[in-house]
Amino acid sequence: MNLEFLAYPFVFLLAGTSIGILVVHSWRWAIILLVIQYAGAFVLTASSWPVQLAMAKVIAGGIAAAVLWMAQSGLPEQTPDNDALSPNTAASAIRPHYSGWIFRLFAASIVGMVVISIAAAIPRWLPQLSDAQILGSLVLIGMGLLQLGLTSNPFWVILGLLTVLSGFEIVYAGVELSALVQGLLSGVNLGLGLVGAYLILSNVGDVE
Amino acid sequence: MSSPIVWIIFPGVVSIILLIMQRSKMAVYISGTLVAVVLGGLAWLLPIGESINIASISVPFGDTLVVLGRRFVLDANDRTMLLLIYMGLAFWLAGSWAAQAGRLFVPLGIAIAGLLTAALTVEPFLYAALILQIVVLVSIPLINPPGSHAGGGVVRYLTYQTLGFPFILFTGWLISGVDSTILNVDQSLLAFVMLGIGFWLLLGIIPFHTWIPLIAEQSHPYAAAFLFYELPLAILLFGLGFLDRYPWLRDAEGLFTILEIAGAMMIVIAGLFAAFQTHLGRLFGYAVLVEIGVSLIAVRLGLQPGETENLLGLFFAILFPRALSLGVWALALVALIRYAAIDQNNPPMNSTELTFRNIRGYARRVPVAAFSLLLAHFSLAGLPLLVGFPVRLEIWQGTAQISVLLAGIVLAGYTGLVIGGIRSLAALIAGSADNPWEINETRIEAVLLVLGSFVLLLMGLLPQLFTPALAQMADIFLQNSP
Repeated sequence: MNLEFLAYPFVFLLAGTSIGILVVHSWRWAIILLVIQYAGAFVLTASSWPVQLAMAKVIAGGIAAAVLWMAQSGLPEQTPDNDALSPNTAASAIRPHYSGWIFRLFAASIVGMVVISIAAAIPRWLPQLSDAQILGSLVLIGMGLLQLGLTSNPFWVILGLLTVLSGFEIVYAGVELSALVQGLLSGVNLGLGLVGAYLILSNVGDVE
Repeated sequence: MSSPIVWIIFPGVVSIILLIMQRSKMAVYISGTLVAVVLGGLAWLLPIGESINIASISVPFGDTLVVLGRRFVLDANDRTMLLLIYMGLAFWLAGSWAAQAGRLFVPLGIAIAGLLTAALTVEPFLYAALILQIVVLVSIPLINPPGSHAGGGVVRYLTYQTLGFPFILFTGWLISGVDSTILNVDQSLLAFVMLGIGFWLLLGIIPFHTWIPLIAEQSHPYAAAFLFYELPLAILLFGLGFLDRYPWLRDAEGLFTILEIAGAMMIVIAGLFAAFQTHLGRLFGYAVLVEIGVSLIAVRLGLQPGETENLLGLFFAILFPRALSLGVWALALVALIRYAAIDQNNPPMNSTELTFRNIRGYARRVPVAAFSLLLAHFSLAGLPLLVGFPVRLEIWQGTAQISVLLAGIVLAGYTGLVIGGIRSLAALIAGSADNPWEINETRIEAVLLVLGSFVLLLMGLLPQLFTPALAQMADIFLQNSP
């Protein structure tokens, strides 16, 4: 099935979800945005792959998101690790800081500009990818890296890593058609979800 | 029967069984160590790719296993790698009981060894990056056991390793199945840069090194030491595999310079940090950074064109001294931590409390641990008469032949590491001379530390006994080289 005509709106969707993950304070919203992000990445991946294979990625991502949800649900309510962007910002966990949002949006806009400027050069090396795939993947990689640079909390770091990997997988799906490699990549996504849950829950004793 | 079943599938199965048996700690420890010794011994003895004769029956022992259309090939040329992995594993598992390295250490250690073997033998080659990432995921509970706080080091380790593997995967796709004549200049450059960034991240080369001192400070020292030994070794062997398979990469302009800069930078910066360090755990981490740097220099020397002898032997010869020194150092740290927990009425099982201020005078109270730690430290710093010295001397000589400036930088880094050791010595022996000498190590700690220190000295005095054999591993490793 050719879903290329749908691709550009989904690039905007990916930009919206990845920026959303960057600025929201609630872990619930972040995981919901992550699932939507996987759906967007599915459309871009499906332009290179059979839908069934692309769907496997959404399922793996969905399971990783579910595992993270369960881990976060297991934490005590209204604690730094439950809702905060960083374990060191206990107060800011409950009262969002508008200055923080503005800073993150500003940083995201800079990353967006960088993405647009380098996206034009990529087809020279990877002519098999469409412009939408390149833009979508670079947006995810850029926003994921930004997320990684702004936090050390395991939950938000795992979200950042999953975002970066989603971006990479869009590019990689365009060049590597081996189902086994993609299966292993899905396994890595799942593994990251499990390790994330493990690290989140290992902090429980600390919080209590 | 085939070799991948013995060295990849079997360790995986054993690991799962040992995970299930976790309650019986002693049984897990003994059976896990025995399995590692047997697998190491079999790597030495079994005729891979030939038939095994048992009584009058001849059993073919193949070298290939096909899984979902992909092949794991473990032939006779991989014997070196198997010995390094499984004898190394046996060494680490044997000390894990005394080090109280946690219930997961033995099962996960065996799983990691099986996965590393799989990573280094899978075909197509690019799959290795994915398997190495799975190794990283499996190693997280090892350095962050259940119930302990997820420190910054673990999170950074996971982050850098996860960011590194896509670069390798992508490069693998770019260069697999083609040679330099098909790749155009742009593609070659792209492959070279991506590969460089990938290995830079995976090996923790500055500025992506921060997880190493943090893990050394926050995690169990023995588990951290195991990871610091096994992971960079596997990544470097993987990198050597790249250079072995793709000669155009080996001939690429700039490769030597990059290896020299990365290696020298690691040694000098880590040495500088070590000189000013006031924490025994972080000092251990900086020594590991120096070791990664010296490995890069050893690889650089091994690739020197026009050499008649195989200088890559230096890379292999440095491995045993490293394992021994790291193991003794980590076990000594464990003994110090255990004593500090009693002394300060605070039971941490990581080295966060081991600041110079806290350990003042410990040489009189845990003397075996203190002096073993110093011996291991000075061995890694390349002091004469210790096991680390002979190979490092060769490396320094080789470096000086390439560039005197480079040799000066490397020596400056090692000087920093020596200063760090002298400052540790000063902190450990500080305090009143009236304090009595006591031995507060457990019996097993004392025995293993004395034995380890003895070997550190003996092999430093008689390097001819082991260095040539280790150096010859390079010849076996590179038998497929064009």
